Amino acid sequence: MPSPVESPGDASALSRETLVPLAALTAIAVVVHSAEQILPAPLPGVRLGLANILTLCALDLFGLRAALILTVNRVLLGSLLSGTFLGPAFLLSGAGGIASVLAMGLLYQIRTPGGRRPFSLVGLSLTGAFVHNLAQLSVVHLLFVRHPEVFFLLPLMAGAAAATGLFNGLVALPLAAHLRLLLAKPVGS
Amino acid sequence: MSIRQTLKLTTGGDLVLLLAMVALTVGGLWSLGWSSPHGALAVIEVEGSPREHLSLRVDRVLSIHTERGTNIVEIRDGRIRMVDASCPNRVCVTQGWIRHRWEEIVCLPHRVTIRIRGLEEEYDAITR
Repeated sequence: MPSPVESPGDASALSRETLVPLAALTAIAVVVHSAEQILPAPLPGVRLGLANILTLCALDLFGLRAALILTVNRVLLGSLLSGTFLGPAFLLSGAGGIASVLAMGLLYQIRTPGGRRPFSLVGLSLTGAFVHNLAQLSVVHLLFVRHPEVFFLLPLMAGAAAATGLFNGLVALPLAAHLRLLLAKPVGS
Repeated sequence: MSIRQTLKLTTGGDLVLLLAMVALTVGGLWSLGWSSPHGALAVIEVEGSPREHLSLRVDRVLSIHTERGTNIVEIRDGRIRMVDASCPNRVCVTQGWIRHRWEEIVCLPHRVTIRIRGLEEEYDAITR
Protein backbone atom coordinates (compact mmCIF):
# COMPACT_ATOMS: atom_id res chain seq x y z
CA MET A 1 0.00 0.00 0.00
CA PRO A 2 1.55 3.36 -0.97
CA SER A 3 2.13 5.81 1.83
CA PRO A 4 0.08 8.99 1.44
CA VAL A 5 2.77 10.99 3.23
CA GLU A 6 5.44 10.22 0.63
CA SER A 7 3.18 10.63 -2.39
CA PRO A 8 0.62 13.33 -1.62
CA GLY A 9 -0.19 13.75 -5.32
CA ASP A 10 -1.08 10.08 -5.76
CA ALA A 11 -4.83 9.96 -6.32
CA SER A 12 -4.96 6.28 -5.35
CA ALA A 13 -3.57 6.97 -1.89
CA LEU A 14 -5.82 7.39 1.12
CA SER A 15 -5.74 10.77 2.82
CA ARG A 16 -4.20 11.01 6.27
CA GLU A 17 -7.65 11.87 7.64
CA THR A 18 -8.80 8.47 6.39
CA LEU A 19 -5.67 6.45 6.98
CA VAL A 20 -5.37 7.05 10.72
CA PRO A 21 -8.94 6.11 11.71
CA LEU A 22 -8.88 3.25 9.20
CA ALA A 23 -5.71 1.87 10.80
CA ALA A 24 -7.43 2.06 14.20
CA LEU A 25 -10.53 0.29 12.86
CA THR A 26 -8.30 -2.39 11.30
CA ALA A 27 -6.44 -2.94 14.56
CA ILE A 28 -9.72 -3.31 16.45
CA ALA A 29 -11.01 -5.69 13.75
CA VAL A 30 -7.93 -7.92 14.13
CA VAL A 31 -8.37 -8.03 17.91
CA VAL A 32 -12.11 -8.72 17.68
CA HIS A 33 -11.52 -11.38 15.01
CA SER A 34 -8.83 -13.10 17.10
CA ALA A 35 -10.83 -12.85 20.32
CA GLU A 36 -13.76 -14.50 18.60
CA GLN A 37 -11.64 -17.55 17.73
CA ILE A 38 -10.92 -18.09 21.42
CA LEU A 39 -14.44 -17.54 22.71
CA PRO A 40 -16.84 -20.46 22.34
CA ALA A 41 -19.18 -20.27 19.35
CA PRO A 42 -22.85 -19.53 20.20
CA LEU A 43 -23.81 -22.63 18.19
CA PRO A 44 -21.46 -25.25 16.75
CA GLY A 45 -20.09 -23.93 13.46
CA VAL A 46 -21.68 -20.51 13.88
CA ARG A 47 -19.66 -17.39 14.58
CA LEU A 48 -20.97 -13.90 15.08
CA GLY A 49 -18.40 -12.35 12.75
CA LEU A 50 -18.11 -9.30 14.99
CA ALA A 51 -15.19 -8.00 12.91
CA ASN A 52 -17.76 -7.19 10.23
CA ILE A 53 -18.99 -4.36 12.48
CA LEU A 54 -15.67 -2.62 11.86
CA THR A 55 -15.84 -3.35 8.12
CA LEU A 56 -19.32 -1.80 8.01
CA CYS A 57 -18.06 1.32 9.79
CA ALA A 58 -15.14 1.63 7.36
CA LEU A 59 -17.49 1.22 4.41
CA ASP A 60 -19.92 3.82 5.73
CA LEU A 61 -17.26 6.36 6.72
CA PHE A 62 -14.57 5.91 4.07
CA GLY A 63 -16.03 3.89 1.19
CA LEU A 64 -15.55 0.50 -0.43
CA ARG A 65 -11.81 0.75 -1.03
CA ALA A 66 -11.12 1.47 2.64
CA ALA A 67 -13.40 -1.40 3.68
CA LEU A 68 -11.58 -3.73 1.29
CA ILE A 69 -8.18 -2.64 2.65
CA LEU A 70 -9.43 -3.25 6.20
CA THR A 71 -10.70 -6.72 5.34
CA VAL A 72 -7.57 -7.86 3.49
CA ASN A 73 -5.36 -6.62 6.32
CA ARG A 74 -7.63 -8.13 8.94
CA VAL A 75 -7.46 -11.54 7.24
CA LEU A 76 -3.67 -11.36 6.75
CA LEU A 77 -2.87 -10.12 10.26
CA GLY A 78 -5.48 -12.36 11.88
CA SER A 79 -4.08 -15.46 10.18
CA LEU A 80 -0.52 -14.55 11.17
CA LEU A 81 -1.64 -14.13 14.78
CA SER A 82 -3.53 -17.41 14.90
CA GLY A 83 -0.94 -19.30 12.83
CA THR A 84 -3.35 -20.25 10.05
CA PHE A 85 -1.63 -18.21 7.30
CA LEU A 86 -2.12 -19.93 3.90
CA GLY A 87 -4.02 -22.78 5.56
CA PRO A 88 -7.60 -23.81 4.75
CA ALA A 89 -9.01 -21.50 7.42
CA PHE A 90 -7.10 -18.62 5.85
CA LEU A 91 -8.56 -19.38 2.41
CA LEU A 92 -12.07 -19.57 3.84
CA SER A 93 -11.62 -16.42 5.87
CA GLY A 94 -10.22 -14.51 2.89
CA ALA A 95 -12.82 -15.72 0.39
CA GLY A 96 -15.68 -15.01 2.77
CA GLY A 97 -14.34 -11.63 3.81
CA ILE A 98 -13.57 -10.29 0.35
CA ALA A 99 -16.80 -11.58 -1.21
CA SER A 100 -18.87 -10.06 1.56
CA VAL A 101 -17.14 -6.66 1.35
CA LEU A 102 -17.68 -6.53 -2.41
CA ALA A 103 -21.35 -7.45 -2.00
CA MET A 104 -21.85 -4.87 0.74
CA GLY A 105 -20.02 -2.21 -1.28
CA LEU A 106 -22.23 -2.92 -4.27
CA LEU A 107 -25.38 -2.66 -2.18
CA TYR A 108 -24.14 0.59 -0.68
CA GLN A 109 -23.95 2.17 -4.15
CA ILE A 110 -27.63 1.53 -4.88
CA ARG A 111 -29.89 4.56 -4.76
CA THR A 112 -33.64 4.79 -5.13
CA PRO A 113 -34.94 7.24 -7.79
CA GLY A 114 -35.32 9.71 -4.93
CA GLY A 115 -31.61 9.49 -4.24
CA ARG A 116 -32.01 7.63 -0.95
CA ARG A 117 -30.28 4.40 0.07
CA PRO A 118 -32.78 1.53 0.09
CA PHE A 119 -30.68 -0.33 2.68
CA SER A 120 -29.10 0.84 5.92
CA LEU A 121 -26.02 -0.76 7.46
CA VAL A 122 -28.36 -3.44 8.83
CA GLY A 123 -29.28 -4.50 5.29
CA LEU A 124 -25.62 -4.45 4.28
CA SER A 125 -24.72 -6.53 7.33
CA LEU A 126 -27.38 -9.14 6.55
CA THR A 127 -26.19 -9.40 2.95
CA GLY A 128 -22.55 -9.48 4.00
CA ALA A 129 -23.14 -12.31 6.46
CA PHE A 130 -25.04 -14.35 3.87
CA VAL A 131 -22.51 -13.78 1.08
CA HIS A 132 -19.70 -14.59 3.52
CA ASN A 133 -21.27 -17.99 4.20
CA LEU A 134 -22.08 -18.57 0.55
CA ALA A 135 -18.49 -17.84 -0.51
CA GLN A 136 -17.11 -20.13 2.18
CA LEU A 137 -19.46 -22.91 1.15
CA SER A 138 -18.37 -22.48 -2.48
CA VAL A 139 -14.69 -22.67 -1.51
CA VAL A 140 -15.39 -25.74 0.61
CA HIS A 141 -17.16 -27.31 -2.34
CA LEU A 142 -14.38 -26.44 -4.81
CA LEU A 143 -11.41 -27.37 -2.65
CA PHE A 144 -12.38 -29.78 0.08
CA VAL A 145 -15.72 -31.55 -0.28
CA ARG A 146 -16.39 -32.18 -3.93
CA HIS A 147 -19.95 -33.38 -3.75
CA PRO A 148 -22.88 -30.95 -4.04
CA GLU A 149 -24.48 -32.08 -0.79
CA VAL A 150 -22.58 -29.31 1.03
CA PHE A 151 -25.12 -26.86 -0.38
CA PHE A 152 -27.78 -28.59 1.71
CA LEU A 153 -26.27 -26.49 4.48
CA LEU A 154 -27.39 -23.32 2.72
CA PRO A 155 -30.72 -22.92 4.58
CA LEU A 156 -28.96 -23.34 7.92
CA MET A 157 -26.38 -20.80 6.87
CA ALA A 158 -29.06 -18.35 5.75
CA GLY A 159 -30.65 -18.66 9.18
CA ALA A 160 -27.35 -18.12 10.94
CA ALA A 161 -26.58 -15.16 8.67
CA ALA A 162 -29.97 -13.60 9.41
CA ALA A 163 -29.29 -13.73 13.15
CA THR A 164 -25.63 -12.68 13.14
CA GLY A 165 -26.13 -10.12 10.36
CA LEU A 166 -29.01 -8.49 12.21
CA PHE A 167 -27.01 -8.31 15.44
CA ASN A 168 -23.88 -6.88 13.81
CA GLY A 169 -25.88 -4.40 11.75
CA LEU A 170 -27.76 -3.09 14.77
CA VAL A 171 -24.41 -2.54 16.52
CA ALA A 172 -22.69 -1.00 13.49
CA LEU A 173 -25.51 1.43 12.66
CA PRO A 174 -25.26 3.64 15.77
CA LEU A 175 -21.50 3.08 16.04
CA ALA A 176 -20.86 4.41 12.53
CA ALA A 177 -23.15 7.39 13.15
CA HIS A 178 -21.28 8.14 16.37
CA LEU A 179 -17.86 7.81 14.71
CA ARG A 180 -18.97 10.12 11.92
CA LEU A 181 -19.78 12.84 14.46
CA LEU A 182 -16.52 12.18 16.27
CA LEU A 183 -14.42 12.43 13.10
CA ALA A 184 -16.20 15.61 11.99
CA LYS A 185 -15.03 17.42 15.12
CA PRO A 186 -11.75 19.30 14.84
CA VAL A 187 -8.88 17.68 16.72
CA GLY A 188 -8.64 18.75 20.35
CA SER A 189 -12.20 19.96 20.83
CA MET B 1 -28.11 6.37 20.59
CA SER B 2 -31.08 4.43 21.92
CA ILE B 3 -32.45 1.26 20.39
CA ARG B 4 -35.48 3.21 19.20
CA GLN B 5 -33.33 5.79 17.42
CA THR B 6 -31.28 2.98 15.85
CA LEU B 7 -34.36 1.20 14.60
CA LYS B 8 -35.57 4.47 13.09
CA LEU B 9 -32.46 4.48 10.88
CA THR B 10 -33.26 1.05 9.43
CA THR B 11 -35.16 0.91 6.16
CA GLY B 12 -37.90 -1.11 4.56
CA GLY B 13 -35.22 -2.68 2.37
CA ASP B 14 -33.53 -4.06 5.49
CA LEU B 15 -36.77 -5.70 6.57
CA VAL B 16 -37.30 -7.21 3.11
CA LEU B 17 -33.77 -8.70 3.20
CA LEU B 18 -34.30 -10.09 6.70
CA LEU B 19 -37.64 -11.66 5.79
CA ALA B 20 -36.18 -13.11 2.57
CA MET B 21 -33.40 -14.79 4.52
CA VAL B 22 -35.78 -16.14 7.13
CA ALA B 23 -38.01 -17.44 4.33
CA LEU B 24 -35.02 -19.09 2.66
CA THR B 25 -34.13 -20.76 5.95
CA VAL B 26 -37.61 -22.03 6.78
CA GLY B 27 -38.40 -23.03 3.20
CA GLY B 28 -35.04 -24.67 2.69
CA LEU B 29 -35.12 -26.64 5.92
CA TRP B 30 -38.66 -27.72 5.26
CA SER B 31 -37.97 -28.89 1.72
CA LEU B 32 -34.85 -30.75 2.73
CA GLY B 33 -36.73 -32.46 5.53
CA TRP B 34 -34.22 -31.69 8.25
CA SER B 35 -36.73 -32.78 10.86
CA SER B 36 -35.55 -36.31 10.05
CA PRO B 37 -32.03 -35.88 8.73
CA HIS B 38 -31.50 -38.54 6.10
CA GLY B 39 -28.12 -39.62 4.94
CA ALA B 40 -27.11 -38.75 1.44
CA LEU B 41 -24.96 -41.73 0.63
CA ALA B 42 -24.83 -45.42 1.47
CA VAL B 43 -21.39 -46.94 1.77
CA ILE B 44 -21.14 -50.70 1.44
CA GLU B 45 -18.05 -52.13 3.04
CA VAL B 46 -16.68 -55.61 2.55
CA GLU B 47 -14.13 -56.82 5.11
CA GLY B 48 -13.86 -53.24 6.38
CA SER B 49 -12.90 -51.61 3.11
CA PRO B 50 -15.39 -49.59 1.05
CA ARG B 51 -16.74 -51.43 -1.99
CA GLU B 52 -19.63 -49.24 -3.19
CA HIS B 53 -20.75 -45.63 -2.66
CA LEU B 54 -24.41 -45.34 -3.58
CA SER B 55 -26.58 -42.24 -3.61
CA LEU B 56 -29.79 -42.82 -1.67
CA ARG B 57 -31.61 -40.63 -4.18
CA VAL B 58 -31.21 -43.16 -6.99
CA ASP B 59 -33.45 -46.21 -6.67
CA ARG B 60 -31.69 -49.44 -7.57
CA VAL B 61 -31.08 -53.06 -6.68
CA LEU B 62 -27.54 -54.32 -6.48
CA SER B 63 -25.84 -57.65 -5.79
CA ILE B 64 -22.74 -57.65 -3.65
CA HIS B 65 -20.60 -60.68 -4.37
CA THR B 66 -17.99 -61.59 -1.81
CA GLU B 67 -15.89 -64.70 -1.47
CA ARG B 68 -18.14 -65.74 1.42
CA GLY B 69 -21.46 -65.27 -0.36
CA THR B 70 -23.85 -62.87 -2.01
CA ASN B 71 -25.98 -60.07 -0.60
CA ILE B 72 -28.66 -58.16 -2.49
CA VAL B 73 -29.33 -54.59 -1.45
CA GLU B 74 -32.13 -52.33 -2.54
CA ILE B 75 -32.38 -48.53 -2.48
CA ARG B 76 -35.84 -47.02 -2.72
CA ASP B 77 -37.29 -43.65 -1.63
CA GLY B 78 -34.08 -42.56 0.03
CA ARG B 79 -33.77 -45.73 2.11
CA ILE B 80 -31.64 -48.83 1.79
CA ARG B 81 -32.17 -52.43 2.92
CA MET B 82 -30.76 -55.89 2.49
CA VAL B 83 -33.29 -57.76 0.34
CA ASP B 84 -31.66 -61.13 0.45
CA ALA B 85 -28.48 -62.84 1.53
CA SER B 86 -27.05 -66.27 0.90
CA CYS B 87 -26.30 -66.82 4.56
CA PRO B 88 -28.16 -69.23 6.87
CA ASN B 89 -29.81 -66.89 9.39
CA ARG B 90 -30.28 -63.70 7.29
CA VAL B 91 -30.23 -61.37 10.29
CA CYS B 92 -29.30 -58.49 7.99
CA VAL B 93 -32.52 -58.92 6.00
CA THR B 94 -34.64 -58.72 9.14
CA GLN B 95 -33.05 -55.39 10.01
CA GLY B 96 -35.20 -53.77 7.33
CA TRP B 97 -34.79 -50.27 5.92
CA ILE B 98 -32.28 -47.73 7.16
CA ARG B 99 -31.94 -44.07 6.18
CA HIS B 100 -30.34 -42.21 9.07
CA ARG B 101 -26.68 -41.60 9.67
CA TRP B 102 -26.62 -43.44 12.96
CA GLU B 103 -28.04 -46.65 11.50
CA GLU B 104 -26.20 -49.50 9.87
CA ILE B 105 -26.84 -52.99 8.59
CA VAL B 106 -24.26 -55.66 9.26
CA CYS B 107 -24.03 -59.06 7.65
CA LEU B 108 -21.54 -60.78 9.89
CA PRO B 109 -21.18 -64.08 7.99
CA HIS B 110 -20.20 -62.23 4.78
CA ARG B 111 -18.37 -59.35 6.52
CA VAL B 112 -20.63 -56.86 4.68
CA THR B 113 -21.63 -53.57 6.29
CA ILE B 114 -23.97 -50.87 5.02
CA ARG B 115 -23.41 -47.46 6.57
CA ILE B 116 -25.10 -44.15 5.82
CA ARG B 117 -22.80 -41.27 5.25
CA GLY B 118 -24.49 -37.95 5.60
CA LEU B 119 -23.91 -34.27 5.63
CA GLU B 120 -22.71 -33.90 9.16
CA GLU B 121 -19.13 -34.86 8.47
CA GLU B 122 -18.78 -31.64 6.50
CA TYR B 123 -19.49 -29.40 9.48
CA ASP B 124 -15.86 -29.58 10.55
CA ALA B 125 -14.72 -28.16 7.23
CA ILE B 126 -16.81 -25.02 7.64
CA THR B 127 -15.66 -23.24 10.72
CA ARG B 128 -14.43 -19.70 11.14
